[in-house]
Amino acid sequence: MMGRADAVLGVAGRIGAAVLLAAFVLFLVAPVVVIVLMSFTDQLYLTFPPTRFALRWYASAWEQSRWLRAAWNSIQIGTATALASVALGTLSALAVTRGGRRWLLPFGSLVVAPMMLPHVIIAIGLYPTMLDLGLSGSYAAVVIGHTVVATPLVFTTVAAALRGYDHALELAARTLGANGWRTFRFVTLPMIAGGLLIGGIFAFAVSFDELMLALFLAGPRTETLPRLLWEHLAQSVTPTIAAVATLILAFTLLLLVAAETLRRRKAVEPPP
Amino acid sequence: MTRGASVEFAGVSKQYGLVTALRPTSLVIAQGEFFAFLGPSGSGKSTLLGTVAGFIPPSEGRVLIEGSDVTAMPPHRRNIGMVFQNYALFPYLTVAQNIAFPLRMRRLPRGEIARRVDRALEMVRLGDFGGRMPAQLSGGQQQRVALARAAVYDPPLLLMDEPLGALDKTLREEMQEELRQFHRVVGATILYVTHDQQEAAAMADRMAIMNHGAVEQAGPPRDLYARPENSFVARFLGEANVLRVVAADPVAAGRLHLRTEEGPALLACGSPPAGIACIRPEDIAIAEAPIERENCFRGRIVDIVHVAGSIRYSVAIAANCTLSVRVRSDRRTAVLPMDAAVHVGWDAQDALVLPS
Repeated sequence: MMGRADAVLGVAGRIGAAVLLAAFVLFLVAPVVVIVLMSFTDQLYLTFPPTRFALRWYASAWEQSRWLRAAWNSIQIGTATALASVALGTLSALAVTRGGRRWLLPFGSLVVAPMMLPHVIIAIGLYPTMLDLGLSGSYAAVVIGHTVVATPLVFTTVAAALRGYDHALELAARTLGANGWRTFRFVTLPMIAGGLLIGGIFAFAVSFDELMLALFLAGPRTETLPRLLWEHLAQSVTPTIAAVATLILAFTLLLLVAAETLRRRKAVEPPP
Repeated sequence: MTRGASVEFAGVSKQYGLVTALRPTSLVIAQGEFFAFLGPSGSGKSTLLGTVAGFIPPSEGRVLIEGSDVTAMPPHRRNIGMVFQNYALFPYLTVAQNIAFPLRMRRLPRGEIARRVDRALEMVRLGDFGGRMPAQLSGGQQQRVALARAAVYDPPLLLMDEPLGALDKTLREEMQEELRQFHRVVGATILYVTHDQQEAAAMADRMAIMNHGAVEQAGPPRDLYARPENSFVARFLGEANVLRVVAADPVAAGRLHLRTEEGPALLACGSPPAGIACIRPEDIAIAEAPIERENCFRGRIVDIVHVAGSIRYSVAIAANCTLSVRVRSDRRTAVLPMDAAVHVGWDAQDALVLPS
């Protein structure tokens, strides 16, 4: 069957498209596959392809308290980051979409700016600030750093949720006797709950995978999983790294699937 | 039955920067009145309603409900019911929960809420629909839920912003009847915003015609139709043939001889200043033979439109003067043919003489 795309592309185009697809798979997906396969090796060093299937490096990571502590740190920092970004992102989104002040509109771009900025620049800015505040190496420092880069994600999803329904719902609640807070609590919040949850999951995922800010802002007591991975890469390359990387990958994928499922369920709901 | 609240606008105006949404407006609406604000979009009618609801703080002037100044009162304390064009039902709540919302906000006891919700559902004939979600209802049913929700706490004042705008024509006419019935039963004052002149005329006790942020004229629909004060009102309500007057000479007491820009000279009742003359299409008689009226012209039929119950002829009586003529028709009415040479005529009292 000759599809429309085929008709437009022609033979050369189809070959080109196939090459592009192959390159995409090779460069984006293959490294992930390699890492996952390598994590199941029984050797003492990273080998590919693995000779025999074994879980000894997963067991090894589990037995080293440093990995466990780093994982626990990452979860704590990710949770705090998610909560802080949801609060800040939601408030900013409310201000920009419902504030009714024209001067607030450019504020939206300002909130999103950290998403475009290289993390290293944010890190360079935050590092001396945290030193001055005596927060360097603390949980607070990492959470603040991660909140800076995660808030834009919450802002974008919540602002989209707010723009997705008729403002008259809130006006109706006001006439029906709800004051500002109760209007938010009983109308705005239920309407944006999906966007809020998805934004929170994204914020957690960003924090969980973030390296640069953790390098600058975390200390030995607060080191995160990506930071510990980085250290191991620089010092002793063992298959433990592959095992931990595979676990992080699986966890992040799980978060993305959760967010996507939520998003779809929201999309299926009939419009108000 | 609730006693309706009176509403007074005292010099209410609204500016957005350099844009004037509403020019200073003063108006008094009586207790229990069904009052419609009618005008094209951007005429300021929704702005006026917004100042009553409390969403739009007026730039100047005061809004009074039952004689007390509510200009600075937040919307949730005004005890007003409002119905929105797109119903604004909460999509995550059932029909019954939607109607219970204002009662919960008023912290009524649970039993009382259930009792009142049931009564409200009965009132809008949706007794079995309490457990449904709004999205499972038709447009007309959703509108009835919105109505029940706005009325369940017996507010003395109800605001309606194009409530039937999203419904199709048949349903709209049914709902008009239902709203009038509702008004008779509930007794609340209703302020009703619409751009549909038939809808306003069919339902309202009185109405205000709005244009460019100001009230052009207010009164009972019949008065506005019969005695418009300017050409905007004359044209906005029903149809009107408008001729521009270039000279007006008094010929007898209250009678003028008018010469018009379009050509025809005519006799009309009225007094100077005379800027325009309006003749309603249904006031003009049409026949092949000359017509015994004070104004009679020869012309040619250039267009024929059949509408339910009547025929509208376009008759050219001069080079740049075509009159719209409407005659009632039934199955036995003989239709004049296209291009036919005809006479059209009307009496002096059928023409309205307006300043502009």
